[in-house]
Amino acid sequence: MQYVLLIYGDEKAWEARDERDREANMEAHAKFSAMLREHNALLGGEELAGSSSATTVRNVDRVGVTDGPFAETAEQLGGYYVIEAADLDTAIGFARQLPEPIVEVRPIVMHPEADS
Amino acid sequence: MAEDSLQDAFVAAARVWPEQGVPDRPAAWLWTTAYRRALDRMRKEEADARRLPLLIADPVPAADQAEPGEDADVPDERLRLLFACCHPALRADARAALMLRFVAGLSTAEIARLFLVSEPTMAARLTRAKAKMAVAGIPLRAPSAEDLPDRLDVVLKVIYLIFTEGYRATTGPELIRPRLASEAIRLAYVVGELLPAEPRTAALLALMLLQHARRDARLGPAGELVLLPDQDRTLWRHDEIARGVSLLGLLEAVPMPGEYHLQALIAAEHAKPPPTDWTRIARLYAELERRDPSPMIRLNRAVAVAESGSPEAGLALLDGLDAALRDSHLLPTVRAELLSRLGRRAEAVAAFDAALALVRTDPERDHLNRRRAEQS
Repeated sequence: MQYVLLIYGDEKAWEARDERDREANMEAHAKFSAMLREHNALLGGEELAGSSSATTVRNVDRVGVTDGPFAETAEQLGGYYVIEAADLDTAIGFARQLPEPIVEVRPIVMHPEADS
Repeated sequence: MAEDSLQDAFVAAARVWPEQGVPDRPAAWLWTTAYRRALDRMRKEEADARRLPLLIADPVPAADQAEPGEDADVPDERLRLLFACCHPALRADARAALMLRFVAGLSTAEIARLFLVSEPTMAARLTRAKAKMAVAGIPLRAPSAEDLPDRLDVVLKVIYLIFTEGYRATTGPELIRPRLASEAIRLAYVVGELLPAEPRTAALLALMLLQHARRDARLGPAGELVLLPDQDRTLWRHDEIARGVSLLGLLEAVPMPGEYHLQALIAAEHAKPPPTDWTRIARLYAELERRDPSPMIRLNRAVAVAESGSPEAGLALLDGLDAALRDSHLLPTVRAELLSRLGRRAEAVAAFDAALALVRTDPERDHLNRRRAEQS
């Protein structure tokens, strides 16, 4: 079996945290990743940029591309891809080709020295 | 202005073409030259008007001035900015603010005044939008040829949104903000200059010129709303109407008039000396509704049908609009006027009351109160 663990949290509280909290959390995540690696359980994972940077692509109606995260309650998260794209327009171009009605496009936070 | 500028362009063409040969796309070339000359004139006309407030305003911080847009005279650069500022992944209000800042080159303080928000609020809105552009990876480039039609639609929609907020403010003590509307017209000239071969831009420009030309006649001495039939036509800017009409003349060859084009044709009909051809206007609205079945278009069609001699038919067209236009005072206002015309006074009073409960600008409220009082 493979699973995806999706982390939810209060973005405002996250942004308001001081540097020490932030670093402690990063360390905890590094420990968690190491633990998963020990169990050969880590397949991938990334930190996502804030929801204000999200764009929603609707392949079902004429609305098309809209600002912000997908925020309906009827539909639930059903899967995800991690892709490489030069910019948002390229990423939207890929999202349009997904055989799915609604796709949220959210940038991944690049940590320059995350693996060191 | 447009027809003068076009005339200039033709004169320039006559001078240049015999020497350099006819360009591959003479029509596009003519449009570019015409748009550019119109912009040059607007800049000249506005230079004096702008210099005055600059003398009393605080100096613009150097960092603010160094941002792109101000001196971005390279068309490619401005084209890239235009599409980045109107990216569909940005919020609608952010797009409008970004356009005015980076394409029209207004200062943050000026934009804040135009949208009736404080300067820090507008600065924060612009900062958030720029952060989204950076973090989300909104590219600073023109869209692909495949995406261009849709993306130009967004650009034109942003411009028309800026215009309509100036033409008919949704909140505040003033009913119109002419400066906001004229900035929208200037933006449309800029877009026309950058993408001259797009009839939709010229159609939107014609529409805005024709509507804006009536600005001085739309408010009475006390700031009250004056409806079109009661307007003092000598206050209309007939030179601007002529510009809009001549743009429409140039668009006659367009096989399938788009939505802005149809609306501009309606505005042109209204700008003609009376009697107004309401039958033609009703037909244009019916065509518009066929393209875009929106409740506001249906509402306008109902008015046109009523004016063309059948208030009953107009009233019937209002059926089924209540749910879609629940928050707008315009539906009960139109219903009240049609009921009043049919002599159904009690029902008209009730409809005026419904309109008064929803109206948000002071001049319109005064107008509705006056009309309600006239029913008894």
